[in-house]
Amino acid sequence: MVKEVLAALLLIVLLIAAIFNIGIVNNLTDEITKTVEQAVAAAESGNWNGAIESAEKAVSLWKSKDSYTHIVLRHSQIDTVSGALYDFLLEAYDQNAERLSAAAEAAMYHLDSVAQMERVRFGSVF
Amino acid sequence: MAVTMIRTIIIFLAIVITMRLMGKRQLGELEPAELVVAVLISDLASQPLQDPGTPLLYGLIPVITLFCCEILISAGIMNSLKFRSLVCGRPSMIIDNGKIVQREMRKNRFTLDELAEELRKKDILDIATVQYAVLETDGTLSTILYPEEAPVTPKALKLEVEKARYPVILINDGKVLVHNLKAIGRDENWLDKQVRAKGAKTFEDVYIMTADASDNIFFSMREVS
Repeated sequence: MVKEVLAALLLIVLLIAAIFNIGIVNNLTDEITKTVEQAVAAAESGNWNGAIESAEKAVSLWKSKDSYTHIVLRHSQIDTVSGALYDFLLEAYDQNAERLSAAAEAAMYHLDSVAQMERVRFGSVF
Repeated sequence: MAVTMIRTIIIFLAIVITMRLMGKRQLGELEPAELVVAVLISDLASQPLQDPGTPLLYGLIPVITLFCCEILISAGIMNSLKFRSLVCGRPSMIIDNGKIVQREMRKNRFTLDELAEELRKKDILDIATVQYAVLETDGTLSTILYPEEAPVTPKALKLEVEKARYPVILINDGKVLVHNLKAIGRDENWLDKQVRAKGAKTFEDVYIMTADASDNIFFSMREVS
């Protein structure tokens, strides 16, 4: 009986941990997405220093969770998001508004993709 | 490469511990659900080993989840007859009072060749000697011979025989198993005498030695390489 209770508890703990993980990944991707949007808005209003600062902050946010993301996400996903964010940062340095906007879309798409994979949906399950 | 090695060791230990906690030692004794779990565990656990870019958790979490599910299913099987028949199925009477039940053979997709093979594995060459044969839920075949075909027992011959004593291993590959020695009410002095009587100088010279409470001894010296 003890074994069964422990097995049930372990399953519940895993489920709770999975739900927490969804929350953490969603919060991280939302925060970075907002920072990317801020960078684009700053670039559109001509404030390139602000855009660069926000772009650097987006990259820094992603890197700050590196230890956690390497445990819970596939490394290929991490590499894709990192690549997209660094490309976005490069466009901010180049101060090209059009390309910055496209790079932002790409980065946000990959961030959303990561978040979607962790969410429990029909599409992610099947 | 070092990372791959460490991941392999972790996964290996996780599988061994999981399978051990599941409590089955022989593949042939697994019920269908347990067999599925055993196969799945090895496949799922190998995913992070094949791809270093896959987090170890992607192997460990499925293993732990399957293990927990198997424990809960086993509990259900133990406690509910209906659940047990749902998950494991029911044994099927293949031979009933000497007659092959063809309906059960078809239902279980059990061919005559397979029946003959399973009987031969039990040293039964003549199907006419089998009174009952049951195909168990784990796929093994249990048989009961007609009384006149069954091996004779001392009881049938009205013979009195000595009670069987359970032989225990006293020395295993040179190592003395003290708790087994105590179980038959003996000590190391007695063991030493027996070992010397068999021609060995020390316990380390003995490959295996068993004895029962009536001092019936089986002894094998270690081969010199």
